[in-house]
Amino acid sequence: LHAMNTVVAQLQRRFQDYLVSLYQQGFLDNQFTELRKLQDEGTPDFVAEVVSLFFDDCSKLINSMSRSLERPENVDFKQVDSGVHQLKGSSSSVGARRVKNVCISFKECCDVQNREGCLRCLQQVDYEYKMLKTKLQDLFNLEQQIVQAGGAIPQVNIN
Amino acid sequence: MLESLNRKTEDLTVDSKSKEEEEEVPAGQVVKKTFKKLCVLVVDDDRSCRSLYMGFIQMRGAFPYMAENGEEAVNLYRDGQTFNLILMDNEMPVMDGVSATKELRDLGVTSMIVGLTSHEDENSVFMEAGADHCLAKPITFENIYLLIEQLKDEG
Repeated sequence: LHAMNTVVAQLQRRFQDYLVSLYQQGFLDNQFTELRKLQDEGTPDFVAEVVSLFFDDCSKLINSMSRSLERPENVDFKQVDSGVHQLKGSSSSVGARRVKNVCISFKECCDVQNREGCLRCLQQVDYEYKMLKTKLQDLFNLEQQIVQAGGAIPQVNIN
Repeated sequence: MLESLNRKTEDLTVDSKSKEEEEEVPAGQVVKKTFKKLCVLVVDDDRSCRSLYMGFIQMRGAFPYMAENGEEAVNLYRDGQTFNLILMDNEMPVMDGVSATKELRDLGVTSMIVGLTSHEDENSVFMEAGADHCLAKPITFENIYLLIEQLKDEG
């Protein structure tokens, strides 16, 4: 029993440190904290499910924007702008800070119809959402390990 | 996930039948209250936003419903549904939030409508269309909590 408690404590500590590091490195902001408030025993996968929808939509929006930017002679900046707006809104709502910040630059490039700038931002937003997806998957894996070891997911105070 | 949210709604229904609607509030303490039958319509084309707001609403003890665009929201009212509160995003396909707000007011809808805005300049347009309030995105649990408190006070 003592060994099991030690394992749980170690996992909880790893979880806490990892989550704090995601905030410190700018991957997440306070809105992710809001999301975590909604997770409890009744909805243990709430955060994972919401971010899964977000990542799904990221992928679709990025593909759509990529098609709009494909031909230099025929760029639909209105379509791209619409995609950026949507991505900015959803990233902001789930606390995906780096993705949101890229969207701000992306919008500026759209506004001045800078195709090269848009392409760079598109590449960056693709990188950032995939990076966040990997990081959050690691976080959720830690959560699962804690629960399987018989522990509770710790409340983490992010200052 | 919508299934799990629906199950949570059913749990709330069962719980709200057995609990007092209001609790005594000891001095200096904030007590979370739940409200029976408060229906909130979330109008947003973004799935993750809808899920988040619906989670906030359920956490506050109200019943969430959703529409993916302004036209769906208007059609719900045309079909005879009513809601205590409408959270209305603006930029949506088919019909945007400002247009939907205007159309709902033209239909005589008196529900509280809160515009969810991404830019400050959307506020005045929403208010002119008939919204009661505007909230800047991202929406927090506290935003929802205060809105529902206000509805309770007005009710």
